[in-house]
Amino acid sequence: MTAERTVLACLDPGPAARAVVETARGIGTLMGAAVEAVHVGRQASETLRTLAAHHDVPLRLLPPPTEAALLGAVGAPEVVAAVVGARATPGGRRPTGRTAMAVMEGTSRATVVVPPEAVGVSPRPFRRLLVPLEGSEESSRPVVECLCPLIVTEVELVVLHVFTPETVPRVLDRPGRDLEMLGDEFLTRHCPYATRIEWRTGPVGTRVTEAYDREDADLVVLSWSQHSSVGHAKVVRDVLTTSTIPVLLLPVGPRP
Amino acid sequence: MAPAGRDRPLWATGIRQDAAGRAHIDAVMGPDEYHPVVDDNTYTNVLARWNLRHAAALVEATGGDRDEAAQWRMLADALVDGFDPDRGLHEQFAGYWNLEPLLATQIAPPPFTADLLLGADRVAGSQLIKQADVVMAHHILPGEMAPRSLAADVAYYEPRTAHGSSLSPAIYAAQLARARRPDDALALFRLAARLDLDDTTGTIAGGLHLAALGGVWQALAHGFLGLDPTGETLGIDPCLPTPWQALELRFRFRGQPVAVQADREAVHVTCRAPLAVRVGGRPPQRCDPPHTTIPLEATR
Repeated sequence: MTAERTVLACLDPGPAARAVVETARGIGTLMGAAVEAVHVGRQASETLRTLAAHHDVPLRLLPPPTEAALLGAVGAPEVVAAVVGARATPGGRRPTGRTAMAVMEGTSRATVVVPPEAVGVSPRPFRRLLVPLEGSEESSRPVVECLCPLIVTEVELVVLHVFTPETVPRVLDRPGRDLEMLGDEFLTRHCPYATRIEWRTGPVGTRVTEAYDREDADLVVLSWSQHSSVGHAKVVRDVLTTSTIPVLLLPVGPRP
Repeated sequence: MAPAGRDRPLWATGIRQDAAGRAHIDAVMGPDEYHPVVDDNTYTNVLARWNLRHAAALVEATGGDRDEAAQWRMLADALVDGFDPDRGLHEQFAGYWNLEPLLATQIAPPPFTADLLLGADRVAGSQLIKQADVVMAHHILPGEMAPRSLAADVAYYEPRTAHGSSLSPAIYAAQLARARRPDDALALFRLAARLDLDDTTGTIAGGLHLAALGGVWQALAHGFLGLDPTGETLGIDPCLPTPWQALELRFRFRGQPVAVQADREAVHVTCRAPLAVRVGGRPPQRCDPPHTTIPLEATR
């Protein structure tokens, strides 16, 4: 059954291409899926062909227009995740290009956004995923129902919850003991697959970035509404802007 | 706190005296855990003073070393208790007045955990407190606090309290009622009473907050009903919130079961043997079994 699963590496000649292929292989291992690279155009550059061949990934050409072609490929029933590149230059602050955003917003599949700095994360198997959760059923469900059943390797899921004035515990008699109890309750309700939970306070995007670095995580997992306009998905935009490791986005819509 | 008796009270060795003869207790933590190491915590000093005096009395009554008992009394008399006559308030600990003047409502609606929201260092440098501290001293040892300081202390500290401890709301409810603010008391009483029902702490899976429930009973007994069991006369001084028509509690006083019901007009005492009660500021009077009604109008 798992042989039917496919992870699509969406390649373009940008600086993240190598990281995209490597991450796609890592995601493929994580989900027990084959990896296929796709490129929109009549032909792929020598660089892309060499890159795909070097990683033993078949490369398929898709006819333009770009966004429609990618969404069509990603929407195939065997595809469980799409991997796209982010940012024009390493260290640049432009989070995602128009094409990547179109895939992120237009597909019901998991989308992995890979910054150029993520080179070298794979092909080492993913060991630790950081899963920021706000504590709502809406944001937890995609992780529990869509992501966790796809994972076939031993991987540690570390949940991160960033307290806000609205979610901070109202009472802590004995902080160490009470936070442990709150953590057990949080994981039971929102992510029983997780190994442990980390608590933080402050700006969520910043805390997520700090946490994946501290936890030495390989992948950040975020649920999102697929609305990236101003006023929506601030955490997703903040994390995509600053993250140097791949970010897996799970739509909160119906189960794919 | 060490038990009084043949052993020296803990405080007899833990008190520092300055050149002026004033006595201090350094480096302690009172009920307010947001300020973990402080000097001259009012709550601690007041309890230590009470402890020393009672230990001295016990030693004297049992034929112990009177010189040592006298030394304890001197220490107790010299202990500073944080009362600031200029403000008419108790300072929670030495230096509290100089901390960042933050009110709880500037951060979030109480209850909330200020240390998580702001960080432990910021909170420790502010006047935000986790729970009743000076007000807890009023609750436990009202007779040890400066006369007529309760209302001012409650009015000052309540806005600075995050109620980040389950023990806090009920104690404030009791003392707000004693300060003749029963409707304000009721809001915190409801918070305390519903703590586990509403899973306010998020830890109900770990069990009930029994100490908080005990605080709820104390708020009813000592706060709204104004029961004072000190001595052989039962004090009763009800102060009911607007929505309540009456309050009744059953308990044991000096070995006998007693029921006290207070409404807007009177206090009704049920007992099995003659009982001395003191209602409001009136002199003690005798209640005969089974029922005695004492009108309240004359007490106000």
